[in-house]
Amino acid sequence: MSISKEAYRALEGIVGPEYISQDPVIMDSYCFVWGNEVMFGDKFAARPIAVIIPGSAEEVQEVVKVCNQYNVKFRPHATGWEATALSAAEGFLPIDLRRLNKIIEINEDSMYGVVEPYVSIGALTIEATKKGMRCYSLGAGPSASVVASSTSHCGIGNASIFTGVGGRSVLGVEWILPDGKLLRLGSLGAGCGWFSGDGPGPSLRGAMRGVVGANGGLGVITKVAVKLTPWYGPKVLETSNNPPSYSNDLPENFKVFTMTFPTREDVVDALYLISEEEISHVCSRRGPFAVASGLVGSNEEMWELWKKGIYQKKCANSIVLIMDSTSPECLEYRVKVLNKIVEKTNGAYFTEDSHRDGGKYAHGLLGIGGNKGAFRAGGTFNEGPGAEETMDSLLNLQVMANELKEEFVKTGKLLDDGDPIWLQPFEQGQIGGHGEIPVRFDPCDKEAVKVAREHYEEACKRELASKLGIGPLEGGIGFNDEINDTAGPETMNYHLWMKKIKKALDPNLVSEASFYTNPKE
Amino acid sequence: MSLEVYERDMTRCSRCSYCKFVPHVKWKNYETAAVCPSISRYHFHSWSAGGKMITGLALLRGRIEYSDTLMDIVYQCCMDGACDVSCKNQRDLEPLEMMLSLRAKMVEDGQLHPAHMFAIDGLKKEDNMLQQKKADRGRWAEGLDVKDLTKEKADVLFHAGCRLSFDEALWDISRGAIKILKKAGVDVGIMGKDEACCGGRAYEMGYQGELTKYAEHNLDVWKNAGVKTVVTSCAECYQAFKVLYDKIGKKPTVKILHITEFIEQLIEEGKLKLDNEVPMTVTYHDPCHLGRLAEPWIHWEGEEKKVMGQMIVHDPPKTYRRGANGVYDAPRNVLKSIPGLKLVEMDRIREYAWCCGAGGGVIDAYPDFAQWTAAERLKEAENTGADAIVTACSWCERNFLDTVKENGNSIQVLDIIQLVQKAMV
Ligand SMILES: Cc1cc2nc3c(=O)[nH]c(=O)nc-3n(C[C@H](O)[C@H](O)[C@H](O)COP(=O)(O)OP(=O)(O)OC[C@H]3O[C@@H](n4cnc5c(N)ncnc54)[C@H](O)[C@@H]3O)c2cc1C
Ligand code: SF4
Ligand code: SF4
Repeated sequence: MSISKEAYRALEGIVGPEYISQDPVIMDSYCFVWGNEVMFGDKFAARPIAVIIPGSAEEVQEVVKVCNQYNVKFRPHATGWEATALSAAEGFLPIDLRRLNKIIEINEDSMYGVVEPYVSIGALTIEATKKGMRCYSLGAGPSASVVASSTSHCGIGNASIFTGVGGRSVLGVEWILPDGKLLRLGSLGAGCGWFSGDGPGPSLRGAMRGVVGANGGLGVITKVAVKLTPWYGPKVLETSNNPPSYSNDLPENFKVFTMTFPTREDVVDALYLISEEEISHVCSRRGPFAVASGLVGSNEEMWELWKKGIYQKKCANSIVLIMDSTSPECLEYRVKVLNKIVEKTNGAYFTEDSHRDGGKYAHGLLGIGGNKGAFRAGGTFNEGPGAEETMDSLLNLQVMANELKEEFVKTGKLLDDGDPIWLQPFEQGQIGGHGEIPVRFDPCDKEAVKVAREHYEEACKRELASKLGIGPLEGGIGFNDEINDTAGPETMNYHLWMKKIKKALDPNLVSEASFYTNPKE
Repeated sequence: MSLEVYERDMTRCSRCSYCKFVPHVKWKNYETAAVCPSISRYHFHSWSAGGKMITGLALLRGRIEYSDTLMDIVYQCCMDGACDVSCKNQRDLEPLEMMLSLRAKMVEDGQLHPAHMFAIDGLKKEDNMLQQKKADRGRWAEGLDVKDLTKEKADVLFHAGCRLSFDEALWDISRGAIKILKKAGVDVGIMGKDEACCGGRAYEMGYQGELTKYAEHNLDVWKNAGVKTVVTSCAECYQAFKVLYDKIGKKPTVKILHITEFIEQLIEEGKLKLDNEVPMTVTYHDPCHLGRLAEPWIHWEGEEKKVMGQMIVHDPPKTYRRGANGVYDAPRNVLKSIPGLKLVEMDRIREYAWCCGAGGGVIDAYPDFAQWTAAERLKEAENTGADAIVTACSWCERNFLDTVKENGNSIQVLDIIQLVQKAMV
């Protein structure tokens, strides 16, 4: 795919020459993302046809209209932290949204925040905490965009038990459809403000994002309102320590717990009970490697710690929980409840690393451990089977996923990190949760990249065969046409709905959809 | 190190964009979350440290060629290392070292920035970056009763640096430093016209050979002068002497101190008394070369190896410089010793401070960008309500002063030395 001189000039006319480029030197930094190795066997995917950085929603709309006029394929781009955010077999026009970076409103009465696409989770969190609220957290960490993670991808994180997930936090939306028309969803569409995602006004969140988002294949969201949840901590987060071990100081009425259990089943039982009792702010089951690596400053330190075997032996089945509360009495009550749960589920408290509670708190709060945990060890990672389900069925899926990973670990080309199963309850367990398994490897090791690809292909097959899920979710890699066409017939033909939506909203097929769907049935 | 050495780091960059921001745990306000002047001003990802990792890899792989755009991407960057701190808070990578290697490669390949030639020619002809007459280098000290170490002996050498030697508007600072030292009874002298550049800025521009040349020269001169301590009030010279000389295997045998460290010591020892009230509210700007870039060099030579199948470790184990061990407390302690003075902090301080904009050859090649960066900092300083932004580097001062003049800011720009003088009886 290329771009004609006329189209380029028309785009340049919208943003000015400073904000558009066709220079290969610039464009090469827009086809390099971490998922590319597994996808294409190389760090660089197809070079874009140009890159554009509009300065306002109006400019975005003009850009989209020109793309329709000249048949230019485009894809919106926020932080680029999604595995395949800039990947495609053929070049397209990335619309870099970094100049749309304003927090429009933080509404304390109706508890929502309205943001433009380049406002990150970290940014909204830091400003919302000043007003006694917080944004959902994301496993990817605080640098990812609120708009991208809530409207166009999943939005799952450590605090999902309390805050819910990004994808379910969406309220009013301003959406430039693939054909350039502007659509306002929810109460915004009825001129009633941002407070509701459904009526009054058009309730089209399902069409806009489904479960895992359209990954840029359905136009550009230029503003979103997301739900905020209560924050009982201080308005300013105090910090201590030095890099790479910065931590947040634990506020009054907050406590961090690490609990260990004899079996994975006990872990799941405990997760159910903790969810039911609504006593946690952050709560998840992570593998011993993830727990430990978030707390140390480097791979060298991690290796020293791992050799001691403490985490593998004592924290093989553990839950990390951050408890918040509104008063000392509330805290006391919650601790008592947790004690009972731990007792009932055969658990025990692990206190050997409690001097690192500030670090755990920092990771839990903002999700900053995701980057360290995923990339530092080997250089990159990918996902094994994952899904959104009840905890019991997630456990079944993850046990299979772990066995699969172990088979590939034997090659020496995936990190041998024990049992890295992540189980994450949502919304106090009311809608189940999320499970996934990361596999870590070195992108510089060609053989490791090959093994990671083979592992991924096998993961897709086995997950589908298990009937416990569709494919490795978080990578986003799963949700291309190939997977949809295989998984759809097994899953109530969801893919046919996606195709219908795509066809209706993108008549000229310009909204680049390598990781969404094409309309052909 | 050659660029090839960093090929693995470049490949392992995850494009997470952490290098564009203050480490998240340290965010205080969204308004002051950005930490990289380059990406903040030029927007395309290539201008960030992560973008330069990708650009370096693309160049190595022959995907791209030298061009004006590449020159801008590489040199519209202050080399202040804020990106490095943010990256290394998460990862074991070396973005700043990679960027230094990329510049060195460009110079080696004859890709010279025309605007840098003024400074480089100045070095070749006059041993300074400002194309001023070598013979005039000691003029700043005229009338001061200070020893000339080309003729006399003293324990301590005060090194003024190119900026303070020739920028008359800043002579207050170099002269003030001598007055303070003398008042405290320090046996101090200067090299006058025989002082030469430190070579640090040229090294950052990619002219790595210049650093070796000046390191050898300066070490020789200090040895011949028989001094025990070299003190400077220029953060760039300090970093070159303390860190870069060590890095290239020419660690000085004399003690290297920044003037703020020396003054702190003199106050502690009771040799310097600050008794005058200075009723002002000030905020302190951490110069990058006194802060994160002044973290001592850690030598490491060895191999990468894998444990647990794919975890990257080193043999022998490698310790990374992550920015926290720069000089942060000495200047603050000096300010806190001044009676009546109130110190208020900006949001971006210490290892995650926003750069003044002058470093890495930016003030030489892209003065508008240097001033844009300074203007951002001045805005942050003004938001604290301070009467003055105080710093401890002559290059920061020059850039702030130029920007204040251009933009009409009301905040004063001062060096710590000027405040210490006010507080001295
Ligand atoms: C270590 C790591 C862990 C992760 N863990 C999780 C996790 O736990 N949960 C989770 O949900 N995700 C996770 N992810 C995936 C990813 O980070 C998130 O999906 C996040 O939303 C990406 O945000 P971004 O700002 O980087 O968006 P980008 O990568 O820039 O964009 C993501 C997708 O959304 C599209 N998009 C971006 N902006 C818009 C817009 N304005 N309008 C329409 N489409 C748009 C893009 O085209 C792209 O396809 C993880 C990623 C990493 C690297
Ligand atoms: S240089 Fe470091 S912080 Fe920047 S994008 Fe790469 S990995 Fe992330
Ligand atoms: S050195 Fe400074 S300007 Fe250059 S990339 Fe790093 S933070 Fe940005």
